[in-house]
Amino acid sequence: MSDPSESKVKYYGIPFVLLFGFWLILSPGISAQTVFLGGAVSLLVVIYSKDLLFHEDEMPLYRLKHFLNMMHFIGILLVEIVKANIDVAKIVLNPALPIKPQFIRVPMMLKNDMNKVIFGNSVTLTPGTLTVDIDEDGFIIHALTDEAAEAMKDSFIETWVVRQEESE
Amino acid sequence: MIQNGLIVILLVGGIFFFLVGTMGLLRLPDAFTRMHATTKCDTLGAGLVLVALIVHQGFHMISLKLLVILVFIWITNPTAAHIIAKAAYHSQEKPSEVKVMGKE
Repeated sequence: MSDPSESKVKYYGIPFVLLFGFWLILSPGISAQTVFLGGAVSLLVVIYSKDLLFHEDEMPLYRLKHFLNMMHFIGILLVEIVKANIDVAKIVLNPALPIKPQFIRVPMMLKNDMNKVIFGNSVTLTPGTLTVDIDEDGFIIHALTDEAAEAMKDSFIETWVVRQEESE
Repeated sequence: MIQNGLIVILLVGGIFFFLVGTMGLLRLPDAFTRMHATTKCDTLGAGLVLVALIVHQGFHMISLKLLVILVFIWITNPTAAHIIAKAAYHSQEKPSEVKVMGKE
């Protein structure tokens, strides 16, 4: 584990930088006034919500290696999202409506909450699958077709998230 | 010229996916299958329209703001779908057999 002062910098620093960056993007222009006001407000928000912030071990993305992995994963996911949309479009436009709705269960393999969120949301975004519920045993996923259900057997999302969790 | 062509292609694509999403909402039988159509087609529909606007603006502060909108849509859309699906799942009888999929 890294020394406590460094993790404190991350604990307060990263939310501050995110809030401040968000402020700067939304502000009409960068001037002394917006920068000063934004900095002050971001600092206040971080101080006031200091009990709500993520610890480093709760939030894997605070580590640079994991963040870069995540960016790579988002790249793959974007391609899958486009495929998902085309697949669903084909099914919806097909006059025969070839669907076979079914629930499937993917056994729980994650401990970290953030990784669960990433897995659930990524599944919802990929072809014909929708995360319905999460319990202790696993994810309940609704699949639109047999192929979509089969694809969950060995999906790249699962492989990636499990690898991510193991590299803690 | 090329820029305009690209914008038209992206906009038409975005509108196409919105159309498909709406048709899916009307044609598919129950809540879960309808969620499939609406979430998928809204993400890419709204995504393509926003990318078209980014291309129209070029490299500009407004493009950055549009990108932020896009990122938030793509985070909130599956989350909202999940909540709706969860509510539907808990308000009906549990399916008797649930196939287990996943790595052994």
